[in-house]
Amino acid sequence: MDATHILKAAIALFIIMDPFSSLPVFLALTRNIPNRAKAFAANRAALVAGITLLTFTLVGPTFLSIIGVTMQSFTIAGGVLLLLMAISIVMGLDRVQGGEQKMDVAVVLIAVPLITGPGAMTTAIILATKYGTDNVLLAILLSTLGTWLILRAADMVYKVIGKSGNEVLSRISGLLLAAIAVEFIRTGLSI
Amino acid sequence: MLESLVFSLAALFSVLNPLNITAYFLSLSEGLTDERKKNLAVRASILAALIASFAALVGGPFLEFMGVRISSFRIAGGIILLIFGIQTCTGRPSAGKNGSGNATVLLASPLMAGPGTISMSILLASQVGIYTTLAAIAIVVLLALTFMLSATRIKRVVGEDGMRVILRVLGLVVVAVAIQFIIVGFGTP
Repeated sequence: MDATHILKAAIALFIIMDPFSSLPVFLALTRNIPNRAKAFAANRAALVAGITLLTFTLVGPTFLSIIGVTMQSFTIAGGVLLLLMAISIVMGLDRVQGGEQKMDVAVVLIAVPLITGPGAMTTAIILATKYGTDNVLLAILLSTLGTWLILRAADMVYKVIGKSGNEVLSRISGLLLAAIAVEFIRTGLSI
Repeated sequence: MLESLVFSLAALFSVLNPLNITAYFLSLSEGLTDERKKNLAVRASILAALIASFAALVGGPFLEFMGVRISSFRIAGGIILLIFGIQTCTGRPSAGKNGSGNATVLLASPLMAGPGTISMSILLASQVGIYTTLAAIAIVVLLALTFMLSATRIKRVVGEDGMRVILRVLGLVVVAVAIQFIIVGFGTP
């Protein structure tokens, strides 16, 4: 257990979960429902996202070694995946093609793959080998907590930072994400 | 001091090129009234200056804390710049139309304070110090703003086709800068 490691991992995961880019989708979905249902939707999205990530972090490495994928390859793959995601965020492409979905289904869609996507899953596993599984499990709890808080206060956050502020935040976190991705690829290739 | 300021100005100029910005500005502001054009230019410039200064102030320490090398950030910036440059060159709808964003944000970031400007600001802050970097950012953004405000006149002089040609050529410059970023990034441990 190391507080700095936990904090580093939590920040990286939080950037990748990028609750700010999920905000507009969440708000659009919950526009016409009462506040209590909104709170329920936020709880559920955060819960599903957190549990998925925790499970994957615990089971992932074993699974990878069973199918014979080395950690280096996985790190490179994760980096490539993250890089593509980062590019689409920076270019302002929409990450979800929203059709008309039922609320229940939609909330789960916010949880996976929007908050806990392939990027967050690979990152969690890579971080676990770097900082230790116990630290990363705590970090997941922290970053999920942060995401949950932002979803709960969705209306307020959006009002304070505004549409433009939200977009700028997403763009900048996309850039950071790209840098983290390149770092992963370079670590995997050891250059 | 003066020497490092000139050095920072040249470095920032290569990534926040007023000519480029003006070309993007023209395609983004098409069909707007004069007043709204002016609004767009001023607000985007302020936002861009804020983003770049913020990056210069906290970017380096933050990256270090997260265990991301500045060189990796440069490579990442280069890759994204490369895509933008290619889009500009091939005349695909310039960033403005394929995104969901509004014009001010798009112009401020990623067009003005994009991956290039942000990584350059972080790099300069670690090389020539924070005050020189902030001064350089202010000067380059002001220059870009001046260019944007006289954009309509520039367009009248060179004409519609002229603008298109200039945009393509400048796209090529962006691609070159991007490749440079990637190569230098891989060359630095």
